[in-house]
Amino acid sequence: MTLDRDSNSFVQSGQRFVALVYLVLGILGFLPFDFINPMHHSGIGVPYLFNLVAINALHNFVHLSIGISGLVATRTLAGAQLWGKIAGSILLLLFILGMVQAAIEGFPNDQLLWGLIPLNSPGHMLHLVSGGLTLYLGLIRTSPTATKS
Amino acid sequence: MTTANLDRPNPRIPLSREFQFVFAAILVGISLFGLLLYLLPSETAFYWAWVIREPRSAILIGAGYSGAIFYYLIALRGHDWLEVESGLGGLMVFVLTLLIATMPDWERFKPYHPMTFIWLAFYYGGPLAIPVFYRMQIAQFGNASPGGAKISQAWRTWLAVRGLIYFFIVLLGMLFAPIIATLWPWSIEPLEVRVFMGQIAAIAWQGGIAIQRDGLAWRRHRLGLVLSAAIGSLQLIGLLMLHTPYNLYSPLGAVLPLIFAEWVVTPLFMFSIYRRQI
Repeated sequence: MTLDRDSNSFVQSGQRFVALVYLVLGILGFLPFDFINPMHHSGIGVPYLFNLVAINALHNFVHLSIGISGLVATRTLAGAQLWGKIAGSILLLLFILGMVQAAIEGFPNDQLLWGLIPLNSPGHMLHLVSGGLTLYLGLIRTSPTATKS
Repeated sequence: MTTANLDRPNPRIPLSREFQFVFAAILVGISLFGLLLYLLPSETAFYWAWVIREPRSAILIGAGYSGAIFYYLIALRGHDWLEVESGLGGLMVFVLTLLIATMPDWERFKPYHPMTFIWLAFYYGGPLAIPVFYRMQIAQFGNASPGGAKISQAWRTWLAVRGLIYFFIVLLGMLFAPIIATLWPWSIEPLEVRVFMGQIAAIAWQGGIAIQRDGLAWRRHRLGLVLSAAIGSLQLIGLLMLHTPYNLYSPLGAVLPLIFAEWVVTPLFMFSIYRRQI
């Protein structure tokens, strides 16, 4: 689909929204409050952001990086689309890698990707959903007159 | 209670391709969720994202999804943005309520069950995608007041008041689910109480529509009232259908049937008055 000039702002604002969500998740992940990030001692023993997503400091940095890079990139339409393609592909790749590792390990409650980044099924689905949306916005064809806006 | 039809109805605005996809995906998901929970409430250990011990609780949750099937069938068939736009707020409220409901009780979920994946996709996907697709819809097709028939000020006030009451119930239900579970007419878990609050939140949204600028437009309310009536009817049937214990004398024993009856009666009255008006 090709969007007209006015519609193109939606691509930027949409990507900015996803980036903002990741930035907020990254910041919240560092807060040492048990009601936001309760510790799960079973499995690999890491906190779960909102009691859902398994995290550690590195995982939070990844979230922050996605958020900050997105906010910078979405200042232009071309940047927003490029960011969508890169960030979306990375998130979808993370989903696939995470699922493959989970399958190999017999679908545990949580896992350590490459021994570094904790993941679990809410994390996998966050990667899938946000990655799919971001990539979709990155791949939408925009009108040539507006690509420099 | 009727008022004169002062405005001409605006022509239909089509749904964007993204919203057609979202509604179709929701329809598939809720059909799966709703029919399984409503028709096979004792088999949740096999097919559901967590084990619902009491069949009445499964029916309570399943009735919400099953009732929404009518809403999305009409929405997809009608293809009219002006009818569904106001309901998107209700959808957002519903998905956010269920996402929050999932958080305190994540340990009860089977983490890699297919239903858990669909559940998470819905309740992550909704808050992320709906605001983005909303902007896209407006950018592509524009927006307008629905125009057409208007409901009376009295009905608007009633919808706002009931919305406020239900909003308050949702707040209590989410915050104090373990206490409320002890007052329930059957044995229910806090997770199921919180998930049920999503239905009340969606119905409460009708009050939110009523206080908006176009809050008198009948077209804004029509689909939400169909949803309310469908869920209310299925809940009442569900209460009668099962023969497992129901303690009518528990603190909430009489309240639940009254709420469900109200979900049916208000739409019935409003449709009897406005159904022939556009």
